[in-house]
Amino acid sequence: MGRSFYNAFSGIAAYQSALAKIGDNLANLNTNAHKRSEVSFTELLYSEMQEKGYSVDPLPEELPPHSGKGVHMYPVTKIFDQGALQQTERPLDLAIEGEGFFRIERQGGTEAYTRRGSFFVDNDGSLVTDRGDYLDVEFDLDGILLNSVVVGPNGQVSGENFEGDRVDLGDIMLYSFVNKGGLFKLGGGLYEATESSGEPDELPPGGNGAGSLNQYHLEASNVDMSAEMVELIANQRALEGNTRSMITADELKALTLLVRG
Amino acid sequence: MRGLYMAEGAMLVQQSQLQVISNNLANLRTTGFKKDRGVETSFAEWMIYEMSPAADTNDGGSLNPIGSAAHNVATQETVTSFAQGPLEITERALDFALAGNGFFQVEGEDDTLYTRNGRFVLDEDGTLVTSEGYQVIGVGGQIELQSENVYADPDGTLFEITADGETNEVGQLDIAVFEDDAQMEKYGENYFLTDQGEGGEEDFEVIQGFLEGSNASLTREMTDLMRVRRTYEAAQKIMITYDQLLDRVANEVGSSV
Repeated sequence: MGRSFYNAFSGIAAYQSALAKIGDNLANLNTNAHKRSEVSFTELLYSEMQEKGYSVDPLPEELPPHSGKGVHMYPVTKIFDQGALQQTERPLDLAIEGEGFFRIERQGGTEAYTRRGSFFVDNDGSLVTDRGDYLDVEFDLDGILLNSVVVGPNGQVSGENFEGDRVDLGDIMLYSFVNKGGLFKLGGGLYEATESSGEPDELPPGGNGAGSLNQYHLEASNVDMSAEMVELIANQRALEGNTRSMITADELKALTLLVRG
Repeated sequence: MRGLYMAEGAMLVQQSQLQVISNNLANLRTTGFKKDRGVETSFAEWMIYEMSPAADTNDGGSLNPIGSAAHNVATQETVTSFAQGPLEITERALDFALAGNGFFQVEGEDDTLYTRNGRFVLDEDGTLVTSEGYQVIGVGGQIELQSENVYADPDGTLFEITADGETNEVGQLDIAVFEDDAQMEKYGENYFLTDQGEGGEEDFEVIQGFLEGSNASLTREMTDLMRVRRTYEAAQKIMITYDQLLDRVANEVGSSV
């Protein structure tokens, strides 16, 4: 019966973590370029039952009685489905339509990847994220009229200087991974390459797998509220079911003790 | 005294039933999970005799058969139900569900493992693997992809759509079908093991963008939970009654009060 307690406990723990993940998705319903995570579960190891109450001599053609040891949650799967493109008023809002990522140089010198394309100009004229990390391409927007900046779908950036001349400023590159699901989530929409994600391919934007750039747009969160609500209900019910089996295991124990009450 | 041990047997069987039910409940949302059921069996039936001393003889009386009764109860085996689980939409390109019979095959650490869990990912080399990193076995070897831009035919053939819009056949999921699913042994982590060779009629469809949910149902398991609870309680009552009877035999029979 001790096994039943742990089976129930593993279920309660797994479904609780699942509910926490759903909470995280719902909290990021309006976070730009947020990628939802999906939970899945797996059985724990099986073993033969050699306990009292089991036939010690199963019929030869039958497999011996086996017993599961409950459930655990897999590491979450990040779902990188495209989010909807939302129009904005800012020339430095760039949404990727496709598979790629921007590469960011973090303040510590490490590299990270993001799809959150809301950029700003810092006091040196460089493009930075809202957290102050640099886009990997060096731009000098010093002396450029911000509202004149044009980012083409192929990543070419140009702008007008104060004299009214259009100048090429450089090209934004995108990076794509064989296994995006293997990226490590750093928070703030940033991801780090890992052994499992593989090294990124550097590709110019525009129709070759990395996706194209959309200026004056941001990518919305790919969390679908109604799908999350369905998940929420299903996991909550499963949690309740496991609570019941724990209570039943407890009741059986109590009944046993009551034999000599 | 026999009744006391019978009550104990019944209680132990209900405990092992609870173990199976609690595992089904724990795996209510496990992809490709197949529920178990504990099968109870009775021990061989024995003839029961009543000893009746004859009034006018001194030979100790005679034995009168009063019928037969099973000696005790035990859990014979756990049977796995391979009934189809519900197909749940995920829209993920590398999620596959099997509608019908058969199993996906993967290269485990020592053996080929079989599973109904079709959630696959690509590793850093673009090889199709499971969440544990086991390689998915295709017809003629492992399956290698450049991207997740794939679509699957119902027979498991995978086509990759390249960046130039071309469609290339990149492999086929090798679905194993067996004569007797009951011979599949649970290995854990949603996998099965078996010694039997493939055989039997293929009757499946590979459905992309879906996963097969657990075939354990909350309603059924809760009903079984109630049955276990009440059966256990009944056996416990019998045990208490026996205890009271024995108490009387030991302490009251023959006393002068």
